[in-house]
Amino acid sequence: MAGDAHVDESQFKGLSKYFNGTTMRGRANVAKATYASVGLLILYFTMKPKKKTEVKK
Amino acid sequence: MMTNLFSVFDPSTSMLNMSLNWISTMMVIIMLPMMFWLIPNRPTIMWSAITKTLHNEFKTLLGTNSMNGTTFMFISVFSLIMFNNFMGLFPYIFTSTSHLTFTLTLSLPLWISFMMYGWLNHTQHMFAHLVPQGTPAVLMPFMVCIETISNLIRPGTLAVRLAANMIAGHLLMTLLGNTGSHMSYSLLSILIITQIALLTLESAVSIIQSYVFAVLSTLYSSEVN
Repeated sequence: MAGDAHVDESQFKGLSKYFNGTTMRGRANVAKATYASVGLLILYFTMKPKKKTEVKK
Repeated sequence: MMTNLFSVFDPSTSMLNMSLNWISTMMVIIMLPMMFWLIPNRPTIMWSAITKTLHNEFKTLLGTNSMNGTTFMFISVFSLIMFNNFMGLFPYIFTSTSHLTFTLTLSLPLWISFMMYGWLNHTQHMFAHLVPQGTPAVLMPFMVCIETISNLIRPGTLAVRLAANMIAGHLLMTLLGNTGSHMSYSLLSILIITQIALLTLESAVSIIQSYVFAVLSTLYSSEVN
């Protein structure tokens, strides 16, 4: 795979320097961020306290 | 006795209560290495030409990073599957490639070894591969999810593709063959012609499916390097 052998990294400024779809580092960071987000979502829904249904007398 | 449609695929040969069907898988071992002891004849020379062509093609797919000899593994997989597929077309020979036990045994260790090697030795590269180069920013998270799922189902798809193709062809031939006993003589000639055409198709499918399995394994291997 060629990867980002011919990509000039200096063209990226700001956040796009670390998260983009062109450079190897950018693509890897996007994947890691996506996995982290999905993991946090799963953790949130697992740890969320469940509503207790009250039994009416 | 045909208890259901799929009973043609059940192991039936046995000796001393041991099922001997899987021995048919080893028939390729008897056929291929003859060149070590005999002067090459035309079938041997033809087989050498085929493996040479495959070697050149797989070498191109693997790229310049691959080690020498990598293609041999995939050519061996191709040979094993092709011979098993082809021999299964003959009457009374067990088709081991129509069983998920066999196809999953080939695909799962290959995939696990590629994934373990890739994630342990080239972690950054594997993460980067989850996003195709040039993907628009909006699509990138979705592509990560899609590529992850695509990676995870690879051993299953490899195994099921081969097994399903083999089962479908053999089943069709069996179904058509079973109707022959109830047919009139005039229709029987059409049935025989249809069976011959189906056998030709199945011969092509058996070679193509083995090629597809080998090429996909090669591609999956080239992605982790």
